[in-house]
Amino acid sequence: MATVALRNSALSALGRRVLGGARAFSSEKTSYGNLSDEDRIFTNLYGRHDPFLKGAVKRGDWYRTKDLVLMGRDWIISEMKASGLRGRGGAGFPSGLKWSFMPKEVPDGRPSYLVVNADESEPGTCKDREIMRHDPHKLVEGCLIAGVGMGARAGYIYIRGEYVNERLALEKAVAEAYEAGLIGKNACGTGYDYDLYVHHGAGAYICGEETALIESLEGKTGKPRLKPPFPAGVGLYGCPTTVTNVETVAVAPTILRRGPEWFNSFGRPNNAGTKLFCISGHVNRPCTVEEEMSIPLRELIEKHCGGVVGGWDNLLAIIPGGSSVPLLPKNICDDVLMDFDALREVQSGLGTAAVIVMNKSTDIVEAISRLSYFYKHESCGQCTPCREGAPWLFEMMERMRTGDARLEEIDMLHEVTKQIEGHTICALGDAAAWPVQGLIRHFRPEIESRINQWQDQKQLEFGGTAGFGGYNSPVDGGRA
Amino acid sequence: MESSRALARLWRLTGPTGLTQARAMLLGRPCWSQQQTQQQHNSFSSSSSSVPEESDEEKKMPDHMMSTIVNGKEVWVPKGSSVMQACDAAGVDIPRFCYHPKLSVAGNCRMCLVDLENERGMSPKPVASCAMPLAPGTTILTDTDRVKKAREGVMEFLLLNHPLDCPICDQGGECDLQDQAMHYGSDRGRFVGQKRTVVDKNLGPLVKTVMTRCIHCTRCVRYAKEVAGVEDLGVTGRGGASEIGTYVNKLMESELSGNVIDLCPVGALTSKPYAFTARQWELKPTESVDVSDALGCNIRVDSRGTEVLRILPRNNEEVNEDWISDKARFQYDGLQRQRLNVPMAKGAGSVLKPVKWEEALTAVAEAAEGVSGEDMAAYGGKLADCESLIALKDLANRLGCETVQCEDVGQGVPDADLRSTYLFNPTLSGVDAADVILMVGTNPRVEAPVLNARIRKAQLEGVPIGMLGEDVDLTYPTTHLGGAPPLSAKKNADFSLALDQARRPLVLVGANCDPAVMAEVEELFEKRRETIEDGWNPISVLHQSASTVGALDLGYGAAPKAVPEGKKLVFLLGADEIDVPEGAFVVYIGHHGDKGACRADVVLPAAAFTEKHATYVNTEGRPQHARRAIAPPGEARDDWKILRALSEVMGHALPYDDLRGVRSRLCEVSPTFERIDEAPQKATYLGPKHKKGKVGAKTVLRTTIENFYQTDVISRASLAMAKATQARANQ
Amino acid sequence: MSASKGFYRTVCRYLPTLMEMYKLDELTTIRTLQHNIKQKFYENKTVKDPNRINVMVHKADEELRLLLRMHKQRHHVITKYVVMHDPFATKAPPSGFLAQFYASN
Repeated sequence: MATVALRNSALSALGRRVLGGARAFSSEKTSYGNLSDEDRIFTNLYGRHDPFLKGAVKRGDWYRTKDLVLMGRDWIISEMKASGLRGRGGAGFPSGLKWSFMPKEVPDGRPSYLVVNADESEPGTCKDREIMRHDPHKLVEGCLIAGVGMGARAGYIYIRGEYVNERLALEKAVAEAYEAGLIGKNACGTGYDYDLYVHHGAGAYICGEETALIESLEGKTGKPRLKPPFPAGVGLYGCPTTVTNVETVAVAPTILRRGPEWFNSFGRPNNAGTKLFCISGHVNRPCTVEEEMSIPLRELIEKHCGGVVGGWDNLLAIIPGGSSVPLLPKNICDDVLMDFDALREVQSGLGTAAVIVMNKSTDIVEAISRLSYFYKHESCGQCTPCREGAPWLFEMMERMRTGDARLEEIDMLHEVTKQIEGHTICALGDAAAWPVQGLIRHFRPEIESRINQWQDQKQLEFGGTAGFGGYNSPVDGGRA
Repeated sequence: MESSRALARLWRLTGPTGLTQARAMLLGRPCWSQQQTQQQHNSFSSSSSSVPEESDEEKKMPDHMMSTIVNGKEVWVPKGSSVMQACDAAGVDIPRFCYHPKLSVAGNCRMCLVDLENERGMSPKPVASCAMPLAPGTTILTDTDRVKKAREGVMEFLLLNHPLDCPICDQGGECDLQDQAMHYGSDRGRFVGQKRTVVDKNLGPLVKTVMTRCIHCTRCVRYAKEVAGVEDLGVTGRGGASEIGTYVNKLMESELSGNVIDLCPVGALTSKPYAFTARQWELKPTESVDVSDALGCNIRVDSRGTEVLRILPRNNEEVNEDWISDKARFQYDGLQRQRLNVPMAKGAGSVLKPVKWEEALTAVAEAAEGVSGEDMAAYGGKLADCESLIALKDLANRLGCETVQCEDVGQGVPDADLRSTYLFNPTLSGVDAADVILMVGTNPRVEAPVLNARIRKAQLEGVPIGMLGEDVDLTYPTTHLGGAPPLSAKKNADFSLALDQARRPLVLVGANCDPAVMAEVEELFEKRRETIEDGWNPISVLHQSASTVGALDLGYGAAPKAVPEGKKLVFLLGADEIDVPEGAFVVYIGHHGDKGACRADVVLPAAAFTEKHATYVNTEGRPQHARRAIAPPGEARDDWKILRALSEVMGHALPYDDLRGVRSRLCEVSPTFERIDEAPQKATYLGPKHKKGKVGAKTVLRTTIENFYQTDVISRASLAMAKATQARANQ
Repeated sequence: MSASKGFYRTVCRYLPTLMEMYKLDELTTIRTLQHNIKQKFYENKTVKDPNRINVMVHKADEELRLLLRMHKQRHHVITKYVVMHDPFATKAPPSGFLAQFYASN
């Protein structure tokens, strides 16, 4: 009863219409997108209003948070499970389930921790920074709610070192919340003690990996830990820990206020909710926008970004989920939906929903080669396949870019990516391998033509067999 | 290595016929004889795994075990084992680089990937078996195509930036990378780019680095941090630019630094003194024991022809685990220098001149003529083995001499008749079981570095360590309780409390503490005697020399700093640190021309510990055999044989002519020598044995070792040890 | 003049010839050789019985003839008269242990 009352009052306080209508259509919904303004969670995404406490309260944050907290841990988790929210950091693991992994009681009295991963370093991704600089109270409140949901004693927000303004905004918001008694001792007057700390990293991509982040937070080198044990058992300082993305945490209070059914009404089944999409690259108006899950990719670009530069037909390829997922050529982009399952079906992924658009002016091989350079640079060097494989991938990609290779080496390149994938401690190895795999899958003719062109040119220059690089050159019968 | 030790033990138990079965069992294969197997299992309970026999299917699995299936074969392993341990138990070979049983699991080489299968099907990707705990109901598959591919892939990556300079690499022939590349690698490489090169680091005069060969397994880093306790090594840089090093140019300040050479699976860290000396297959290995300290670390002496080329540790969980100190490892070049290799006697002008053995022995016999036993004295040295000690004592007694003493025996030994007063009673492995450790006037870091590593391990597990005496850096935090007695643990309330509650306290007493300090220590435990567990004796005397306990067992007393005036004939059995006054005729029996030989009137050249079959008793009272690796140089003879020959020439022939004879004489004197390689039964604490006395409160208790690297004649003659001393001084 | 003294002179007279025959000048001088021979005679100085002396002189004379006929080899001469002891001959030991001890480890 209390919930319903809470929700109704919440909605009426915000002057929203009653939920019923949206839910009635959810089962037979066939088109997605076109999210209405009243269904947006992040109402100050563009910083037009006051980001701090006063403005935030005006936008409905911190409204009866006490009641949400007092509903208790089990309620929060069951509501999160019912909402169908999947982690917004890239892997897409159901959030309610993940939070429920935290132990109810630790026999030796270790505290539990919530760690918020604000180390948003994936190339193309810029959703969390918008939350942190324009709507930090959503995150702070989310931290409290999520902390209660997993029984955490304290929360740590690990923010990327390059995000200076975002950190300042967040620190201010945390200070405001402390001052207003919203967090800290007896948070919101609930009797629950909850501390929140903002920690900034030094700018390593790998520190966005959850166990590396924990290591870094402990003051060690950011190198991923072995799993098992998983952080939910042994995490920060050896205590049960859950690492979640900023967006996942920030949407939680709104979900609880408006009810899981509301959130679940967006998107296709199993891909519920609204999501921040960051579109960059060759579009007329790059932007970050909150949209419904499962929105068609083309609609997302044309509606919010003013279309591809040079028109849709000028599109070459799109990386739909940040640098680590395989790219999609235009023919797939035409009708693919932006959600976890649809993108997995086309052998890519939603990732962080950072859409990188490339039109036909792009040198696609160079673009992927540049990503390989990024992963080579950001590999932590702990485990063999990634440490040795990523530089090798980059070396080969550079030769593919100029064409200074042999046709057989394309298969070899693919094999090397397979040798890296799945053999590493963390997912950075996979992330290094996937873009290259995507390139070979969809743009093999492009690579081949470059190789042929280069050979022809060398033949013109030198006459006779070209002395090209690559392994197994026919001249010396193969240098093994 | 462990298996070879176990084999040796089984050999004694079962004789040659049992050996095949023993080996089969160690390899995890079923044995033929059920009874035999059972006996063997009982005989070493340390063996963690066993294989269920076909015939005893009804036999119930013990509660602490679980079963799994590796490649279709069932094995039993203790609960909490890793997947790799299960594979090892099944005899399935898992390639590995970063995993080492004595270090934390890093799981970073990715060579040990295997497939797991449970009721939900195959694992989505191969898992690192070293880091994966074995879950019930899991089947392990190591021969799938996926695993084979994964191993081949990882091996290719490892070899990408490896220089493949095996022909000029000292690790060649005993290199994990070489071996595993042969087994699991592809037959060709596909990498054509520029290989990475790394600047070599200077880790001091003992460890040579060729960092380009490094495969970043981080064993050395983990070893330095976890075992040696020096945070000198680390990984700098990241990705392909990762390097192992000290960041700032400094040497690895550890007494155990040489062990990184054994740990390194490739040739990145090798031995500097051994560099470019020999290939492993040219060497003759001899299992022996170390004499550089009183622990009796188990070593393997690798020799070629007449030279000892290197010394490596042998695994013995009860003594040295896998480690030996730098002195034990690198002092062998001292065996080539300053050697006495011909008998010498003082001729005209009091100058030592080479003579024949007959002449030398006759000279001694002539000098002894008319000298009464009371005017004689016999002193054992730091490195004296039990065979020669008993021969010396027997000879001295036959000549009527009762002054039979050994140098480096602490003054604090009250009663050599009661063994437990001078032993390390809880045994070295007992350090792992202790719940509080108090050190009195000792510095295990220089007196016994391997023991120090064990204490450090205990400290890391939360055992409080108290320290009475000089406050030295032991690589782990200690509670300093003052420089000298009165020993009141009240100075630190926490430590006092821990001491009060301790069921298995361990008090590490330096060998040079005087009896009054010992009495204080005993009084401390007298009050707490009720809480101490039955069968646990807290007194652990840490001796400094290999000969000490053996000498005490054989009835030697503590030697003074100088020979008393009036002695006319003095025998020095390798005793170099005793001053002999003018007028005495000195017979020096030893292997190095050091202080003792300079003073001598007759020098009889003897064999060093690598050149004779000898028995040494370590500080916990465990007799162990050193074995002959090479022949003694020149005219040198085994020490006990010299004494036996001398006795005949002097007209008091000793009754043993061969090694067996001497050893049975040893057993006659002390039954200890019948149980080779075994520590004595734990003795219950019997209460104070020392007379109370006045303790000089002003003097800070401290070890007598000033320079770890140079403590005896061998290490003083060693170039490597001299360099290490200098490097440490310059640091 | 006794038989032995006469024989000693005979030997000394032949020494230069023997030196040349067996190329002993590489190894020794006539003086030392003569000294060595004298030692050989002195070894038997305790023998007083004339019969025994006669037999010994006779045998020595035979040896001298053999030497002059080159019926001996050079190393025999060296061993017997230059080095004066056989390096391969072992002395009777005082006891088994000491013998072994003096010989090797």
